[in-house]
Amino acid sequence: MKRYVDTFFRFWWLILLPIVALPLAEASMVLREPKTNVATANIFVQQSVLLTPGTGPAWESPAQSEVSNLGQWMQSPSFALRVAAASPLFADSLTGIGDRGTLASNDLQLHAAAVLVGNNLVRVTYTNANAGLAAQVVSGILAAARANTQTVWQQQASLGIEYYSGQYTLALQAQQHSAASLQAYMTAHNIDPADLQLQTSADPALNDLYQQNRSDQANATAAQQKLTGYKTQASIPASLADADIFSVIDPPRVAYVQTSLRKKLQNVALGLAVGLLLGAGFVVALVALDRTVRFADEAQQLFGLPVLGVVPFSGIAAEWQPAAQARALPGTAAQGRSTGLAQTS
Amino acid sequence: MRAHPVLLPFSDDAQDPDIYRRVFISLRFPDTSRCRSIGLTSAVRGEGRTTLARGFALTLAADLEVPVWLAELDLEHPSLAAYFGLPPSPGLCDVLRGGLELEDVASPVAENLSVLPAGAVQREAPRLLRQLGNEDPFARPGMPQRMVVFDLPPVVACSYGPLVAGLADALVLVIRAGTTPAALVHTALQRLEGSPPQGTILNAFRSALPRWYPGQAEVP
Repeated sequence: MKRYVDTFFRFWWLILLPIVALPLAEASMVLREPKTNVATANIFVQQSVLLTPGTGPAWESPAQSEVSNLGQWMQSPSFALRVAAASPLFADSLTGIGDRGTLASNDLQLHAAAVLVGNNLVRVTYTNANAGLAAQVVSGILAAARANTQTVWQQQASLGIEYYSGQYTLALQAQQHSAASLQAYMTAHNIDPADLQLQTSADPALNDLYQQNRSDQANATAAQQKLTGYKTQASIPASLADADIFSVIDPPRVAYVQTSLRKKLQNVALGLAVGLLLGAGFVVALVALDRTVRFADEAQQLFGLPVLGVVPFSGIAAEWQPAAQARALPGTAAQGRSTGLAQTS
Repeated sequence: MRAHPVLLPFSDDAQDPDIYRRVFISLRFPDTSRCRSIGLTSAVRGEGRTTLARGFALTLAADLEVPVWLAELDLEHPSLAAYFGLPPSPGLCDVLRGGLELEDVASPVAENLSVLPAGAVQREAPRLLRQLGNEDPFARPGMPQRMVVFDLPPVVACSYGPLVAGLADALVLVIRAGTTPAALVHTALQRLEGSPPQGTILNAFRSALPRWYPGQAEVP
């Protein structure tokens, strides 16, 4: 403990440096915090638009699929350039090293967000010091998302028709096969179709064939329904269908956002805590690395010898001051020597 | 004998003669010895061994009635002659080589204090140190009563250090606080097993502990 206290008071200025500097730096950052505006728009998503029909998770809500789509699109430079095309202020702000698409995409990934609010509700936000720019970017995101959605809608319809046509054909074949097997069994066992329901409870083999046939029928019906749905989707122009996919219920609104006092105080306190940790770590490291003898009681304990005397440090003693009358010493070498001795002749 | 200036030691507080007095009275000397000696050694160089030897010699010269000699046995790194403005030779080397007596090379530098510098040593320092360890010129029969303060070579940094350390009646190990690693002091004590020191002096002690810290009021 003695060593820790000694080290602390020896290097107090170095230890206090992070303790003081970090909270001050944090406070300075809080004070110089730029004005932040957040533009927000809410969209209502009617139905999921999935790129690959039949593969999307069944539990995903329309809003979830839209959030997922928006997240992917905002990573795409072409989507970001579409946003920039719809927002002149955003386009002007894209200065830096690299192509504009990447710059815009990086900016969107950093400052834009699509947040799930409900099963069908998605909130799109963009943060910027310039309120006008923020509003423009959100409008641009909505416009670009609308265009992408229309494209995906059309792709989804054609892919859906292709996928479910195959599914329907397979299901029909399976149904015909199971129906033929059932019919053959019934003929072989002289079962009257009117008694089929009754006989299934008594004959397990018949029951299996019957259930298989029913299942194949259900699959064929489901595939047919999906196919009909996608055919209908394909017959409606995407621009008309778009209103059914998502609609903007709250157009972009800009709100001035400021970090709360609580958050600011938290940041300063965090700086202080980190500074304290650094300072304490510095003391611990210094003490751990110091293998020298510092105190008389330590020396006595370490070496088992009595400490006969303790000579305090003195810069003068280490390099003694030349005596004013050193010239009186024999020889001249003593001149400039430090003796700490007063001398009379 | 050449005329010498009168040196009044310790004009600064850092060199308080009481420190040396306290150390001196706690040392034990053999009763039979007519010529008593105190040896100051350390583990390595730069621990303040020579500075403390000078302080001892000056204090004892002022306090004791017997003549005090300050003898420089660190033949490899002599410094006393230059410090006191004496010619580098003759010195102890010349005594060891033969032809001169200790009295011939003792130069008075203050009242009751003479300095025996190492002399002009070349590559023969190890041989002379070994010779010194075997034939102690300070213990010759008929030597008048004196107090000799030996500025000894360090025991870890100088291979002959432990051998020469055996010349002193009372050996003190100097440790520079905050500089000398404890492991080096342990090594020094192992090498001094044949002639163990009576105690240590913690030199250049610096404490940043505040006054309110327990036990700090008594610390010099």
